Amino acid sequence: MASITEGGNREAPLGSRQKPGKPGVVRAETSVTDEHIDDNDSTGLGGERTEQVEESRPQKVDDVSTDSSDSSIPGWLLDIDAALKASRTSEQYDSDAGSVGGIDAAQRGADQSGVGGLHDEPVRRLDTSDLPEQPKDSTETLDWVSALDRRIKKSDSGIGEDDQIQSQTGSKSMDQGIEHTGDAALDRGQILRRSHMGTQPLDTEGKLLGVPTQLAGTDLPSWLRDQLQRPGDIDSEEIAEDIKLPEPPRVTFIKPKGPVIEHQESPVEDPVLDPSFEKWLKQLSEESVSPDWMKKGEEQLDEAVVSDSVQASAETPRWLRDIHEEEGDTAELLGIEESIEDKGRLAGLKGAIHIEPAIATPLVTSLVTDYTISKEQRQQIALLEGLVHAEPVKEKRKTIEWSRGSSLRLRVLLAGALILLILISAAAPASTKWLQGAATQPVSEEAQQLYDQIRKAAGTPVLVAFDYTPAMAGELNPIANILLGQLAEIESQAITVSQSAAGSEVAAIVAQDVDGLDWQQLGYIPGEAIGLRSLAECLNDPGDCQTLFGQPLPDEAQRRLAEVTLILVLTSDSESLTAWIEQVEAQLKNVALVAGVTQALGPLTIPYFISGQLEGVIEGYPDAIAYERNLIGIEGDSTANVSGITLAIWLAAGILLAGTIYYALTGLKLSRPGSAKD
Amino acid sequence: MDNIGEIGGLVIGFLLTLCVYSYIVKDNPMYRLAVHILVGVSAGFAAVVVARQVLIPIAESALSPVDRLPIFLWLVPIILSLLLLAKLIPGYEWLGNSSMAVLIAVGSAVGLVGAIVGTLLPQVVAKTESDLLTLVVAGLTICVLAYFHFTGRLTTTGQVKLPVWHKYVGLAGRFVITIALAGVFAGLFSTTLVLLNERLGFYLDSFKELLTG
Repeated sequence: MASITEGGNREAPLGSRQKPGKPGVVRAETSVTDEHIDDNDSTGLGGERTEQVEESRPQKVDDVSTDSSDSSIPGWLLDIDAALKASRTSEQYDSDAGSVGGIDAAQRGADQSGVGGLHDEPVRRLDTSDLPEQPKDSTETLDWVSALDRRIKKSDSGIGEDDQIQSQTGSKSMDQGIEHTGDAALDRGQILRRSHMGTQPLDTEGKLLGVPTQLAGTDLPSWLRDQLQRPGDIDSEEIAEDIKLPEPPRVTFIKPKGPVIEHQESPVEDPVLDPSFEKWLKQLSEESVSPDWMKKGEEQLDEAVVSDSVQASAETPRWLRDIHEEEGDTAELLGIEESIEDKGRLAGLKGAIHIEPAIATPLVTSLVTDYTISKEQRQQIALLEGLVHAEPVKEKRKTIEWSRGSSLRLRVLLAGALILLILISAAAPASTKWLQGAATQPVSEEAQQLYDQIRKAAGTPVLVAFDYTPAMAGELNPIANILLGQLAEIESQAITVSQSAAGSEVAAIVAQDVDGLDWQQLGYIPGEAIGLRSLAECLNDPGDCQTLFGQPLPDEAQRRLAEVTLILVLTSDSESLTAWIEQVEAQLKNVALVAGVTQALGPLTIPYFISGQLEGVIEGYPDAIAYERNLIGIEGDSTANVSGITLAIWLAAGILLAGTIYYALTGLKLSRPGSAKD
Repeated sequence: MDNIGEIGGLVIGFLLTLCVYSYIVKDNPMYRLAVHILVGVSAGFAAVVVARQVLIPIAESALSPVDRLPIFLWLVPIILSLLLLAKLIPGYEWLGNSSMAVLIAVGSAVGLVGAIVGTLLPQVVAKTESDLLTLVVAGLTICVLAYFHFTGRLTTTGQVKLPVWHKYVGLAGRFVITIALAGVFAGLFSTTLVLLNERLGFYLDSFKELLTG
């Protein structure tokens, strides 16, 4: 592996080998420890400084050829050989403290007696445990492989610059510390060779790993042999002398500012490249003039690629064609449209990956939270759902729109008909007077008992509770008018109270409209059940009756409360009615409780009437009309308005009947076997 | 119409009524405007009534305790009321917990006693004129209660098996519930028609009087 010294000069190319049994120079690439790291190292190696440690030591391993003059062995093989040798010799030197030249001796430092440590710094031991063990006979290489190695050596020398750039920009081992720098150096060498040759890594003993067995022992094609034996091959030392690269700055990438909260909503910011790195790239592109050896090599490559004779003589081996037929074209499988290079050394090739954008565009990662769905994924989901449910959704939407439209039309039609009927009956009561007789019902038992209770309370004060708001006044005000009129008739005083804030005002309005009524307002009773219980205690013991705010009632009011024998509750709220029954009626001894409620609340009153807790009830507007006509003997406004209500009820009944018949028929039709297909 | 204010009130009321009835077509801003006005006016009116009939008399009684309760008797309710106001202050809501506890405890106790004494016991001992009717009512009540009985026995297959009688008794209970709800709905519909009739009649008479002078 080529390395860069502190001065930036390139060392002699790798590949110096020793003949067996001869003392020679073995180069070991080592790294210094942390205490020798200069953070401002201009090499940009992340604080790592490599040194070439040259040691003169006896060669103890004879099974590896180390002849430096043998130029048929590529440099990368020599590099790995040196590492292997260092590993093996270090194991031997571990047990021999007096021996020299071992890397471990260098690691032990100057306190060891050996002379292996030329530098005083402790040197890390190369860890070659990961290297595969090679058979002894693997040192013998075929001629064509040796020739191929020479080509590789040239290429290795040619990409030396790229090696350095990559090692400076993307080397992970730089950030991971110095402890394994030696290993990382070896790994980088393997990786780079692997990327240079293709996808197969190279063996450390001069064999190509991954070469198919079909190729083993076969001769090179004639065209390749011609190319390899062409005169003017470039020596790697020549390459080393020509290359003078500007020192790259240390690359630092500026991370995107601020946390990425949601992946799909916040696009990743463009990475910002360090200005010094950009400057260095620009300088590199300007100063990188191809040296002579590279120009010569380019010419040779152009001839090799363009030559028709070469193309004609090139034959794809059978095994390669089989693999290609099995796997197919990767680009076609992936749907990638590969472009053909039109210039440069890669002219005519498809799918070439340009290295400059890959270097200049650093990998940017962002924090992606778990279980996030990007915007594109949402769109894909929506499209898939749309494809799956395209037709049903369409039909369903049509059905819904039709249903909504018909429902709206029917609703408006019904409302219009109702309003029209009521307006006709109100505008022309004579035309619908025949409906008043039909709507009149006999007086119910509850209403009859209420009438009797009021008659019994003649001349005594009656407590009247207005527990409803103006919203329900349309139905309850007529009932209140009838009952208050009856109280006025029997000369009973009405004492009004209310659990509703607006009830007091309603009571005042109604009481003022009743002729001859003597009424007094106690007002609002807050506290719901608690307030009613307090009122019940007050009715039971009027002598100690006080208001909720502690003020004793006036004597006149206390006297009247003591005389109350009937409580009339007018309400549209079930809770109010039950509160009066549970908190007041249950506490009173000689006071009767009657109620006038809306028709909707009628069913609730029945059990209390059966149990005797309610001693009279008027349920809604029809009951009030019957009460007015049959018991009091007058025809008031309630009777006059009943025509419109009767018409509306008839209309509603007719619509309900028609709807029932329609849906019964359509339901039967749909329930027949096979009708679901329609 | 002698008073111009009454005419204005009549017109405004009529317009608001139309806004409310526009809900027949669909939910719309005019309907919401009318509903918001109704809610706001109701709340404001209730606040005024409470202030006039509760708060002001209490304040007068507390500040002039001549021949009335001594003022220190008002300390406890006043303090509890002020603590209840702390529920509106973020971070100090806990101060109102004691007041809420008093309200809930007293209200629940009063309501529970009233429900037992005022509804449960009287309904249990109540007698109708006919013993047969009493038995029918009791039987139907049991059916309705049995409909809400969902406890069963776990079989070996992991399924919950209800008693055999539950199927028939529950069906009878569901029938009774349906009849009862239908009656309630009929009464509600009748009430709604009455209210509609009253409003339309009111505006018809008012405008007729307005036009005829």
